[in-house]
Amino acid sequence: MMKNHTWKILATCLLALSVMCSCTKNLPDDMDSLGQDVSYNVKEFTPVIGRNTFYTNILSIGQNTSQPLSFKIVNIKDADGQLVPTLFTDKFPVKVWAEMYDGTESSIAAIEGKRKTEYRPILEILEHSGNINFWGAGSSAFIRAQPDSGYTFDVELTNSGGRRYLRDFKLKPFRERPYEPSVVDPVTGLALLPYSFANYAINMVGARTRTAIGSSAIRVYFNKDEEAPKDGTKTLTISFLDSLNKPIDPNRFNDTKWDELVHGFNHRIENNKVIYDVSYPIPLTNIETPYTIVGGQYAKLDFGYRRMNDFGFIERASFGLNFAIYEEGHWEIQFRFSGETPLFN
Amino acid sequence: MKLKIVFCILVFLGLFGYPIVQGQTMLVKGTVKAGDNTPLANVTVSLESPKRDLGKTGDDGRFVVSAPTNGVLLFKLQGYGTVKQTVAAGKATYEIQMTSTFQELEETVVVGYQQRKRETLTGSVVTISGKDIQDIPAGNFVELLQGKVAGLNIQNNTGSPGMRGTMAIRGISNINVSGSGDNSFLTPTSPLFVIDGVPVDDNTGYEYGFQTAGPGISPISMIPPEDIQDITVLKDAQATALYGSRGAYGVILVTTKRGNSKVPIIQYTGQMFFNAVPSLRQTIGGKQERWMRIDQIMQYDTTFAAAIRRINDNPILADSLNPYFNNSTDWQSYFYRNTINHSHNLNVSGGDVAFNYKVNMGYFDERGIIENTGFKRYTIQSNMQYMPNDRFRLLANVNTNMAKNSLGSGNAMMQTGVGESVNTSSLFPAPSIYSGSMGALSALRVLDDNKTGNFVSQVELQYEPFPGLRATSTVNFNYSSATKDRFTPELLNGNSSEVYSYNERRNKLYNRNMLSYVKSWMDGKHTVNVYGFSEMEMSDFRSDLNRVFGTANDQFTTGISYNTRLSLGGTLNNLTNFRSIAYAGSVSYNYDSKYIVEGTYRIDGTSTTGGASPWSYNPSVGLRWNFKRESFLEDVSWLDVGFVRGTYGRNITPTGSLSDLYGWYRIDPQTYNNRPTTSLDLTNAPNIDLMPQSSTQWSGGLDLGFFDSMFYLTYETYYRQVDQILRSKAIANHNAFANVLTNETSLVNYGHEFILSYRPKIGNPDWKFTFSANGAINRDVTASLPDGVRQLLQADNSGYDLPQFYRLGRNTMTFVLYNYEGVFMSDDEVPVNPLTGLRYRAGGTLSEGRFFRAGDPKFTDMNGDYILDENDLVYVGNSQPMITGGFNTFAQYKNWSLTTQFSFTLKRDILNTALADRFRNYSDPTGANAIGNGNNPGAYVPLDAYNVWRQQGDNADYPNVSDFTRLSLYNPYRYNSTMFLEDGSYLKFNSATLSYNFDRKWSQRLGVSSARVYVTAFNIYNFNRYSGPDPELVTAVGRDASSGYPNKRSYTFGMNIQF
Repeated sequence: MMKNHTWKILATCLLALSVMCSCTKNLPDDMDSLGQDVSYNVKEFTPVIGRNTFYTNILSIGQNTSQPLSFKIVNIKDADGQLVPTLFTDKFPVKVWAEMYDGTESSIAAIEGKRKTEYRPILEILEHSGNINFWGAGSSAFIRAQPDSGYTFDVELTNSGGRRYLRDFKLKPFRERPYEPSVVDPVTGLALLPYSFANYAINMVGARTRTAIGSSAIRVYFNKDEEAPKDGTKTLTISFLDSLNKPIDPNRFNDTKWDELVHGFNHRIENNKVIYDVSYPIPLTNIETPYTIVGGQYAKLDFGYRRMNDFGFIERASFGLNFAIYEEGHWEIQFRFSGETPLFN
Repeated sequence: MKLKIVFCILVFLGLFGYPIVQGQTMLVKGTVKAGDNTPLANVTVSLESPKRDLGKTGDDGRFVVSAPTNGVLLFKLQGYGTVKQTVAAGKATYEIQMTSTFQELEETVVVGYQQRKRETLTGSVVTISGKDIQDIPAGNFVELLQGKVAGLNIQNNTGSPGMRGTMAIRGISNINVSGSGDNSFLTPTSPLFVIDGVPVDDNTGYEYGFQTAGPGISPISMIPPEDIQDITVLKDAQATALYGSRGAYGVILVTTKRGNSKVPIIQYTGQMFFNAVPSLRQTIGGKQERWMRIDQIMQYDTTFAAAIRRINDNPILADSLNPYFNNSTDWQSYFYRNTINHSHNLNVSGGDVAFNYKVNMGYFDERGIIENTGFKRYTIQSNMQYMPNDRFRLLANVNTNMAKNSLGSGNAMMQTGVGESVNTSSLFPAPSIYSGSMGALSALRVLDDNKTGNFVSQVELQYEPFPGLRATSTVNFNYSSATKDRFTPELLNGNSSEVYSYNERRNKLYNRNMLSYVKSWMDGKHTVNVYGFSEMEMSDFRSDLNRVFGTANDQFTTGISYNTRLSLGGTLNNLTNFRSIAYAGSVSYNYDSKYIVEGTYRIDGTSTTGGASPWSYNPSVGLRWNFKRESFLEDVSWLDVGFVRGTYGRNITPTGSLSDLYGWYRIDPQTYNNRPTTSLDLTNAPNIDLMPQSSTQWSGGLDLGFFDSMFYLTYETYYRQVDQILRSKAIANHNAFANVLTNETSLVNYGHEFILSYRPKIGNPDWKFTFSANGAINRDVTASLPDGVRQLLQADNSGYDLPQFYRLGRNTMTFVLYNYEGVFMSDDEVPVNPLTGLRYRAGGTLSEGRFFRAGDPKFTDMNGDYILDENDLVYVGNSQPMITGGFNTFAQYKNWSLTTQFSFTLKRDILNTALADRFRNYSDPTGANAIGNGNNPGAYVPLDAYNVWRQQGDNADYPNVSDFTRLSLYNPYRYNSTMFLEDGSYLKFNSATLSYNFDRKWSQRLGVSSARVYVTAFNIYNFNRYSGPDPELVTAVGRDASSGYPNKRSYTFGMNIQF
């Protein structure tokens, strides 16, 4: 009997103490904080359809918000305020990198071995970084391009501390411009001219007047051969036409590094055209390689030849183009010397 | 024998001093023994009526007193039940048996300025006898309390003599961190010390020590441990309630010794101690270092030609025969030293209940284990009590203490000069004027002379006009002054010597007037104790600093002649003028020591509380139930003690200053019409709504004693909420002011404490053994932040990039780090961004060197953007220990005894930034960068000790250190990575003392009444898994800074002699 009492007392005491301990349930939970200080620096996105556009560094997160956050795009509406049901949730095949591309790959297979196809929605937000991607797999056939007001969407951010919406993002894509430098008006899609110009021309003189050929006298035409056989290989062809629209033998540009001109392989000259087997887009990614300009945004072409100038010196004459082609296919870049044919010797 | 006779004569003389001599007196002698037959020393023998002291027992338990026949002798000793013995005519020898009341329920303790029986306390109170700490010499006795009190977390994180480390009762009370980088300091929240009834705030003297100016010696360092009678730690709000203002961080009561012997006692304690340098950091020396540097360049420079050029361009590598570079200097050996030190203490005391006195004279001299540092203390502490009758008492204390210390070129906390100098390449010559290593020389040659003086005088009067009603008045005046004189010779200071001359003074006047009434009825079954008091404090502080440059030559070490244009001087802006007043009352009711209820109420007003609400109201309630006294438990023999208690209470601590309330005026840097102008300082907006920090605590405890006190267990739990923490917050920049101080921050501590003691009953009386252990689990949680946010990241604007992170519901001190997962064994392991085909890289502008490759650290890319930047930081770890405690043993065999003390700290994370510093030295193999910045190149750590990546395919713990051309781009050895986050748990063997008590018979031949010798080893060993030298030597925010002051290991030979 006595013992029972003792234990009862002890039990009561322990109970009382444990009640004290339960004070802690009133403490705030250790969960993430979602402050008011998450904001996007860019709220209007104007990518070009048909190109991969990756928006990075567009998010700033302040001291009151815990990372990592989860981001989601919600409420995609068109200009009329109607929800867009599937357009941006359907997934399209896009090529992503599995291994690092650095420009040293020595065959198409080596390049393709580093890429793989994944299915992704055209408008994609990266789950934790909040970066927004606009993949090039779409087409203005089903995406409203400017001058349409485009789409609006909201971004939902969550962490264990809650959920918040950042509203009124605008997506106003431009219609396709499959190559750069482009002559097409981004909004109307109309071209004032059918050609663009070379970026530079150095020491080149015309055969007829022996005056300098400027870069604006070298017209650049981008042509896609839609009828070429679809055997899986993609090519890039380069050709030159003189002022009479007759082909110039590419071998006359005798100081051109044909092997290193583009990141293509198996280069051959057929019908006065230089043909490369290549992978698209060109450049493959935004990375500086021997084939690109500084920064890697465009591929560069440089054609040169040597000739004796008026003063008896051998000098190098050259012209070049910085370009990009975003659409796969059999493309030809044709340089036309509109004024006069260059003097090679 | 002779002494006995002298003793008897003295006793006689003492008796003749009394006007009334009772009838017939006789000589009574005998022995006092404890239950286990061991003799008891220092038992007070007194006469019951008329009340007076007759003497004390010696070390062998013997006593000889003169007493009237039929008088009643009282034998009293702390921890034992009082024994009464009537002196029978004709019987002169008595054997007295005293029984232990081990848990010391009968013992009294002063809580809330009132002497209270331990049995009646509702709060959490732990007492440590002064004896427990007196065998170890210490500049500051607080370091000796480590591991002795459950819930008192002491980290001795500086070995600087006379300084103390961090301490906190029941967790930290403030989350504010000041400073940046390596010099980040958690706002100190040390408990309030109450020394002989007068509060001393140890946070004030200390907070200036590490940053600016003063010597940094706190008044606590001025108390010689030998003079301490006991130390009582009050942990919960009920116990500390009446200390109100400043009691919020807990209270530590220190009582110094009193005279209590008819025969004057002269007690000498001498200690000789040898301080040894503990294990230091490892470095590579001489030729080996040069070859490591050359190898590194040959392997990792951009081209072979560049490597050869780099080596040839740098004579430190190429010119190996040049005596300036052809060295293998062990830098640590120039700064660290072993020292021999001593301390002496003489205590003279005597008297009886009517009049007693004590004078304690102490001398303590410790030379620091870092050159040019040391601490000396001279103390005289005295008190006297006059109590002609039971109704009047006068107690007076006068303490005069002086301390002298030298901090070299460092400050109280950090030895930055030494820290940098020992981290110097061994190729450079040893410090000398010729070699020009000025940082090192100044650490060794700067004349740093600090003096701190402290004068305390106190008078307490007590009068009982009629029984039960007692009036007490205490007045205390405390004056302390400190000076710092530092002279830096011109050679060390760019050809212009510097005289740094600092002085400060602090005055404090304290007064307390108390009225108390005790009434008991029904044979003491019901007792009511009511008292109230008013308390007043006035203090002011000011410090002046002169910095005088360019004296005529190095012989002039004061500002007699100097360059007036460069010299500065004036009063520092930390001057304070503080007033506080408080009214407090307490009622307690005690039924038969079985049920105890008490309540207190305190009203506090302080001058640093804003005018909007100047008073704070602090109640407390406590309950106690001694259930063992219930009739139904009386027969339970195995349970001796059983009680449960619970308390609630609130305390405050004034924070901030007058200027925080009302703003500052300052002298403008520009003039108007050539006249100086003043304007408001726009740093902090005045805020008259400021309130003191408050602490609300719920606490409960259970005490159980089993089997005649063989086992004794105390369990306590608490929940403490600290509100209204003062914190500065930035306000929108359209306001004129940049910041405003508010009381919006809160934190909560909760936890459990355990104390267990075990005293086996050993049949053999020659043997005695006790074991006691304590432990505390504490968790702290951030409960509220300014502006109601859930999270706050306080940026660290230094190269360390270690911000403070606070989030509601999380421990207050979290690290913000990059998560380190190991090393990329090969290039192919580096992940590639599927969008761009680029490898994972370090943040910043895109450059080839920032892309990770083999041997680089693998930091987790939390947000998956393949760029390592501040978005990838994770919140990890806790720099505050979760479990702290200690255990100690005491074993005695005849005259020999052995005491050991251990302490432990578990579940603590620390950041080894010192190791990061060492690895970072590899970024500069030629030393050119360091030399360009006017520094010497850093030392190289031996890589063999660490598993560092060296070649493709290595699965290493640490990334490649050698790729020096890229190191600054991708920063593998960044301080803020989990690579350096280590387990800071440790078990420390604090001390062991072996002592021998000489036989009284033998010692008396030398004219000594008792003698004891002992040897002590202190800071013996630290068991841990930490890769640095000492996991305890970290700052309060858990960083092992390179420039900390290592803890000494000391060996002491000491003796106590009593005449």
